[in-house]
Amino acid sequence: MIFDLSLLFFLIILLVPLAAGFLGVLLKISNQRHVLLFEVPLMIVFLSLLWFMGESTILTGLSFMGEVIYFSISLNGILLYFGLLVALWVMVWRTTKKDHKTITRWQFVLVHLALPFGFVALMSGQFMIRYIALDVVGLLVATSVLNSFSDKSRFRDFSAIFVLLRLGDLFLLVSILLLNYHAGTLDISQMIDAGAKLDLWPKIWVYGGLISAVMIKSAVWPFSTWLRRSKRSAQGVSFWIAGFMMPILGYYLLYRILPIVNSSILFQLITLILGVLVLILSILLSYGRLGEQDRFIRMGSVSGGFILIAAAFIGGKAFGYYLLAWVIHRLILLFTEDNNSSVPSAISDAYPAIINIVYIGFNISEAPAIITVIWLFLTGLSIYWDITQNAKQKAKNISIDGLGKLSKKPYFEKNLAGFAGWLNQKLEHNILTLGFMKLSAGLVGFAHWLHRNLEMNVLTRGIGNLGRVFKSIADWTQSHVEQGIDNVLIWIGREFVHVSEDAFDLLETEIPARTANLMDGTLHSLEGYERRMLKKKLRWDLALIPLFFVVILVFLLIF
Amino acid sequence: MENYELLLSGITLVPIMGVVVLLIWRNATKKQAAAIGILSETFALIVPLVLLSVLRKQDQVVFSLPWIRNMGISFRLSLNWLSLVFLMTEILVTLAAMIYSLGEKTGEKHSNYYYALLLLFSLGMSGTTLADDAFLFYIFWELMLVASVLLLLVWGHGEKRFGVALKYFIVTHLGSLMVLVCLITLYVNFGTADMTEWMTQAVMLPGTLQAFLIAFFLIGFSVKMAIFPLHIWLPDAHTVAPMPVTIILAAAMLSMGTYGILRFPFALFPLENLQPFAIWMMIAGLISEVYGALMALAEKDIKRIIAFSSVSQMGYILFGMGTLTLRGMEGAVMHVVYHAIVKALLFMVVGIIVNITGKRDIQEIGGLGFKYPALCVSAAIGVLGISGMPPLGIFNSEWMIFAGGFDSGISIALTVMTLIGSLFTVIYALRFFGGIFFGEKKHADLPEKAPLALVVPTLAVTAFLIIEGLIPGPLLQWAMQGLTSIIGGLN
Repeated sequence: MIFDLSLLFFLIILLVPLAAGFLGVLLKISNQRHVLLFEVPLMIVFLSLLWFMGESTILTGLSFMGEVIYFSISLNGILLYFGLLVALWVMVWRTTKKDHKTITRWQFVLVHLALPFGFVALMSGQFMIRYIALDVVGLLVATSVLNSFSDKSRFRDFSAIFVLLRLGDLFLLVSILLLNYHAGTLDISQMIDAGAKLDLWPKIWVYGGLISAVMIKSAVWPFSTWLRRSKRSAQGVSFWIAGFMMPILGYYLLYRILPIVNSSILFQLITLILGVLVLILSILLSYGRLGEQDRFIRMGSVSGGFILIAAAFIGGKAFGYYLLAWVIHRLILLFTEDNNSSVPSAISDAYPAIINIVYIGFNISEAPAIITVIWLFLTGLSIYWDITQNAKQKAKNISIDGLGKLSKKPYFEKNLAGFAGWLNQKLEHNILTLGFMKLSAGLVGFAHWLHRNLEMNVLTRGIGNLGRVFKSIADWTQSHVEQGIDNVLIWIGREFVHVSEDAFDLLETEIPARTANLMDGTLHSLEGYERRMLKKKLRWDLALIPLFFVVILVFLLIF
Repeated sequence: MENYELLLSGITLVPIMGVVVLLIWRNATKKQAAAIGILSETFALIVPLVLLSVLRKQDQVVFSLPWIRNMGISFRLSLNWLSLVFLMTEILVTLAAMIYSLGEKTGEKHSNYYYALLLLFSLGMSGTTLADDAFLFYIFWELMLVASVLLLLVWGHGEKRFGVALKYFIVTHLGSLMVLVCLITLYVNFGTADMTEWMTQAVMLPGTLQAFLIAFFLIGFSVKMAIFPLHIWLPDAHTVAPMPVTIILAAAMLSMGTYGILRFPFALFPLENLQPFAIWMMIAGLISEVYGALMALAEKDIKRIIAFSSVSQMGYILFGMGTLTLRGMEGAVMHVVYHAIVKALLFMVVGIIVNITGKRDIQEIGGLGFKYPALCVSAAIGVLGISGMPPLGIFNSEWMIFAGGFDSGISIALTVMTLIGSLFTVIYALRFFGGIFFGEKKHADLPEKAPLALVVPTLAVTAFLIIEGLIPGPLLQWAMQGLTSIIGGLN
């Protein structure tokens, strides 16, 4: 074969939305709905062709930071993308047929960006490329709620969604980097294999990061807040990115990390407990929040619980089909949201039971019997609560106390409703909602406190104060030490002058005067003496004395 | 002497000639002075690009002239892969700032002196990067400081600038003095100022002396990097300085501290002797990262928000270097470059906003997104860039820094804290962006369009940021070659 057909189909699926999005914006196409209604089936056709070509690896010839970029075409990945495309097409089709402008250019662009990045996230065989694609889809989810510069509440929604999804990305990055350190590669399969063989301590970090990322991206409780915001603010088909693509990418991540989850009984148990908690709390909390939370969010989170339970004990390829079944469930939920839904109520109500029973039935040997029993019990419970909740919404009965009227077991219902209300108040409202708000406010408050007390008072003004103290010390030194030395020097100088003056008076004035007087007196005395001497006669006889000494000397020399 | 060796000297000599021309040409208009400055910097930018082919063959280009023979001091410049990365960053940033200056009011008077000082500032950084002689290194190091202080004093905003310039001078000079102590100690021990020779001889120094020198070098250069709590000069200096000078200070000059750490303690001493300092560098990096981000979150002045973000970003770089691993340090070097581009972009955006609104308090600004969409897109890309959003550059450097943290085997928890701490960056970046471009309009009489002379360089830097992020290969290769050539034993 001259060229690889898989590569060709792959490129078409990747490039069609990019080209359509680009041309749609460039040519200012007004009927975006028709473009999408035509384009998505085209992609489905090529996706089917790719499926027929079988599982394969597509090398791109590119590298990211020294690591080869390649795509691994897997059946499960194709199935999930297929489900996503169908969901998108249905959402587009459901937009009103009268007014074609319901899909705005902004939504059109966002969806066309999400399509290739979602595809890359599903197919990438290199973890960092998958991470990048997930990150970009996260940004698109957040961006889908923005539609006006003047409405700041939209930007707050954007920030909350982006920050939460980014937190999930950071958890994922922790695990990727740890796995990369141990595996020495960014190849997902090799990294997961290496991760499964790690010692417990590093594996706890890896597992913690991955499961947190999965839960955040899948919008399961308590991380469903971003999806709730998105549901409230994202308009039209752009909600497809938040409602379908992001959670499915999260679940697919869970599918890929199953070897790590199943490598330790500890992780299996934690995943199971998380699943059960997510499931029960999602239902209970929504039970006490009538009118605030719609079925899509609630049952989306419930399905997250089931998926976590399944991941804990039943893995393998079948898990991919299980995920696909939940994609369809999400679509049914979206369909049944309005009262004019064409989907019969019984199908939507019973759907989770059908999925779980079929899945458990096919994998009966894999999960322990007790888990199977718990699973079935929870399935029944969730359906029961779901039906009750729907009935309440349909009856427009917002009162929790009114629950009893809808149930055949008023006592049970009453107490359950009371418990749900209490839990809602304590856990959801006090801890999660208020707690998060307090945490945010606390963080900002702490930042302000630190800014005021450390940065401004100590480091900025403190340095200024230090400078002033330094100047005061300098002034004091100037006045007391430096000036003191000056004074001492001046005193010494004065003393010197005094001493000099005294010395001058004494040595240069008084003594010379005295000396002069003395000299004068002496000279006068000498003069008088000379005069007296000159008046006397000369005595020649005294000249004989030396002569007499000479005679004695000669005499001594001879003898 | 080969022609390409002479060409290398041109990186310092041509800007000097530019300075001389500007000092002589007193009547030069702003455009004329800018032309001289931009031409000189363009030449300085072209030279390393021309020398790339030589560098590929021999990994180093050296220009050496005897200077003070009896003291073993020479005018010795050396271009290698590591210095190339820093040199290009610094020259590009200066060039962008000079072009941006044309749209600013700064430097309308005494334009020749203004551009001469910008050239000297850049020359100080180029010289610091290229110097292979400790004496020469210190001269350029101080030239950088003196030129920037003069720019602050003469063209800074408000009366406060005198005090700020003094604080900037004293604090950074204290750091410089610590570096000087080390340089003198090494000079006294080896009898030469040749830094290449030091690299072979430093191993023979006593262990305690090596530890002392490493500690002094690290603290001294950390002042220039503005690592908490040595950052005290930065917020005020960045705020008071005219915008083009702020751009150079934040985007280029901070990187000189990083270069100093790589060039001295890391290149001179064996990695095992740096090991005791590794965890402290990582902790200091983490604290700086979080502290800077919190301060940016608490600030109201948009210029100071971006200034504090530098403190935070330098924390990542110090953390990366502290890992003592190839990936960590590669990430740190790449972060220097990416941070420079993002920071230049964000300050340019701030400059335009201040220009059109006349306000710097984020609470007095709002709703600009609809009126200035191009500016909003540039700011969005800058904000996403600094948040580490792929495929923009900082994502590449950040994950390499974090990977280095895990590779170091020092502490998983410390690296995880640093990684999760990066979420604070996202929070303050979003607050900055949302506060300016979303919400109710708070200004009645805004110009229809932002000044073109400011917008064009801003858009150019935006495009450059995207390209750098999408094609990280060359930068990664240069960083890797540079690091492995001067630091042995990295894994």
